[in-house]
Amino acid sequence: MKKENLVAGLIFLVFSIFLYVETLRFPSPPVQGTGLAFWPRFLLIMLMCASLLLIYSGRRQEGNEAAEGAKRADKDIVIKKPLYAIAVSVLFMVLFKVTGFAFSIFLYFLAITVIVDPDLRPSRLCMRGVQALGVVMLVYVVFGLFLRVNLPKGIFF
Amino acid sequence: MDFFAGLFVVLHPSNLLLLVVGVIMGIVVGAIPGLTATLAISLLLPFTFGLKAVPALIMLVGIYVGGIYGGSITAILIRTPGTPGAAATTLDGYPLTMQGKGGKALGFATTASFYGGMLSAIIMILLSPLISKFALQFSSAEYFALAFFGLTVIFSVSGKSLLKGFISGLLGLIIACVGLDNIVPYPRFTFGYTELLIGFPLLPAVIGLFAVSEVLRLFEISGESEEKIKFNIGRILPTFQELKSMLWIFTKSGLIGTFIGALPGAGANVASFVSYSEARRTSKTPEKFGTGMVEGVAASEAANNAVTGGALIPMLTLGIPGDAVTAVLLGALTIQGLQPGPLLFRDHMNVIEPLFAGIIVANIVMLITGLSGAPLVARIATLKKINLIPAIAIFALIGAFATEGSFIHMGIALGFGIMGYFLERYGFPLAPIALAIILGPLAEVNFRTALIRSGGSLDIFLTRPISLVLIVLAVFSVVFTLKKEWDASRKKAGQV
Repeated sequence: MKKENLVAGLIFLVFSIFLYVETLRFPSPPVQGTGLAFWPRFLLIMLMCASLLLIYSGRRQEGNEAAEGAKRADKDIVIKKPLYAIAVSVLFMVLFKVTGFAFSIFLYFLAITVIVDPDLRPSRLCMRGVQALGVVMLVYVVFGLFLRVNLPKGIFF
Repeated sequence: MDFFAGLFVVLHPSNLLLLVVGVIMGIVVGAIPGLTATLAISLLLPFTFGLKAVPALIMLVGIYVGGIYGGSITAILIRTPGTPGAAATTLDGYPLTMQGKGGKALGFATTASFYGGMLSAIIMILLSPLISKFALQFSSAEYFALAFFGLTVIFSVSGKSLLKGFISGLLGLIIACVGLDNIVPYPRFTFGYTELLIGFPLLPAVIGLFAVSEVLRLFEISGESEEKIKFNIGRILPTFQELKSMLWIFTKSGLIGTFIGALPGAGANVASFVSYSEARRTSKTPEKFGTGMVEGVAASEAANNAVTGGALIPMLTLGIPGDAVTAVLLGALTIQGLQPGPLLFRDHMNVIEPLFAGIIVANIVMLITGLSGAPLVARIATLKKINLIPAIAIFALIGAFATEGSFIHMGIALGFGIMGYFLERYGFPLAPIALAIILGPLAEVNFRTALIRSGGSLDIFLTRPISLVLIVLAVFSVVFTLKKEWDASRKKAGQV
């Protein structure tokens, strides 16, 4: 976690400096302390200070590298599935708009269940397909019929 | 005023049926991620057009009460606040579910909501004109002090590292700055994207932070044994002793919720966090808040349901809505040909009496429905991972889309989910971000407005009694937390 603190501190520091520079373009206030840049600048300076503290704490505790390295290796393994899920979710958003809610939700459900449990036996896939259809129907009934949300129909309908 | 005449009208079978249907519909819509009590009333408003004024209002009040309560169910069971007002409920509600005490959390959320709702209804009936006058004395200085006090809870929901909690809080406050400035119409941090002019909408952001990030976290457990995320429900009904020990928190939170509800512009979101902060401040074990304390659930839920009565006070007595829901209710009253304000009490007591009685009965119906339905809904938490993960993901993203039928909102939920997942993974708590996004705009606008009024002098915050008391309480709360952390770290260093 120590090296991660260092990296996180640096990211927040760069982020806050970048936004602080952006605030220099804001119009100046009519009365001291009441302009639209005052509040974000105050927050960004605080964030810079907190980031420096985080970097300092990261550097100070950087001793136990071996144990940290082992922990990081474990974390790298478990992060794969969330990364797949993020990719699938981004794809779902695109499909939701283009192909409509029914097709995209059906695929999204299938994709997520495969990431959770990569068992691709035909019987399992059939069962998941039926469940996915059920979820599509549920979304349609709850959001489309009951709550009258204008769900995108997409290119197929 | 003849309360019992109103009660008689409400208990008429057709009116009672409408009220029960309203409460149940409100609970269902409120529990769906992305759909707030405001949206529940807006969506179900057309159903009341064909009704007369009294039955229509009785049904709408039922939806309101049910909608605010409904948000807590998914907040507790799957860390997906159904409404922004339930965001504070997730802080202790979801850890309780993970400990196999989801039923207990639901039981306390329901009883606390009932108590808060009843208390606020009684206060509304007895003290409406008085509270209305007092609430109108709140100026920007007091609003800022209130938000500042609420923000101090950042330190108490920071988890293991105060510094990381503080950074999370600052991130939330900076996120709240995005969009057109509320005082000077100039875009901040929009980088030319017109979609960002209105800032990051609260609901998709909260859904992303809590629900989507949790879905991604659950993928990490994927491959491990099912038992690790298969939660038990546990006992639902709180015992008499438990309720007795919680009575002070219920009452205090109910009073806080009622009063904050009566303040124009401050709704259930603000009330639940301020009340949570206060419960934590006065607790004997404040360090346990955020790890699964029923007191946290009770404080948040009693306060957000107490907002129902509080928000109706300025709406009915002055025609000023206390929050977004009462703004829609105000519209509903106008559609029915009624003009809220002092004249309503003089000319239409036949409407006011059933309305007041309706809130009381709606809370009773909510309690019965909530407790009897809890064993059923709590089973959500016992679903297998392979069913739970896609269900939360789909309902969270579609819920974010449904708020305004916007693909951008869906993207915001996903973006906040990814950000939340990585922040939490590296030890940055998410609760301070949500808290800061909710309270940030209230704090900034009123801070600057107060400074404009005072010509740039900070004295305005210290010369007004209410503001001074709130600021002193906030400073005391921060100093107390920091000192405790300091002592704990010194003790740890001494042991090493």
